Amino acid sequence: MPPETARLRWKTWACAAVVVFSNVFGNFFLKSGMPAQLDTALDYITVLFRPTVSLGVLLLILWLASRMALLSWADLSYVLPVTSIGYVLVAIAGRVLLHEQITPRRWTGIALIMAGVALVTGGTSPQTTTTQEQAEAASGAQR
Amino acid sequence: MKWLLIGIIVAATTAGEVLQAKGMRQHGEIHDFRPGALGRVLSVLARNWLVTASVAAMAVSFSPISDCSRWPS
Repeated sequence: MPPETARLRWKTWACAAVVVFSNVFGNFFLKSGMPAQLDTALDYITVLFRPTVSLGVLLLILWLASRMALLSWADLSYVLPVTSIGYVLVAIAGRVLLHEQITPRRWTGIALIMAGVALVTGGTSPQTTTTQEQAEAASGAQR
Repeated sequence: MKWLLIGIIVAATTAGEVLQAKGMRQHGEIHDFRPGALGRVLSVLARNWLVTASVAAMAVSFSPISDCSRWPS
């Protein structure tokens, strides 16, 4: 494997791991900090100052930033399937930490997501065009 | 109401994804992850309308998600 391809692959995996875990724990803290009842618009604002909700929001900011970095070199059609492993981890976190009931139908959907992730990551490159070509295509489409 | 909120989440998320991918593609690969360099990247991205529109779309999708977080599992 050429050094440039290896570097890109390593960078993609490291960034994808940050994207997935910040998404999983961000959503987990958001869910666990949300009260069952929010009546007024002010309630929606004050709930943001709860420590667990704030932590969830901060992790989701990290998720957005890391995903933007990942999208700067990897294809959208690669990033979305690969990071969707987060849905699987969110379901597991919901089951283990929040004691949610996951029906066999949901587990089947989760298994299908995992199969899709394996299909996309197995041997495909995160980038089908060079960064130069991507920038030209994006600026050309805007004109 | 539930399906309306889900529809808003799906539409806003899809718009956000596509705009963000296009904006970041326009920016090019991020090589330097030191804090100063990331700050410079952020200031460049803040002036890219595709990226700002994508963040707005993500914010639109976030509020129904907060609401859905209160639904029983």
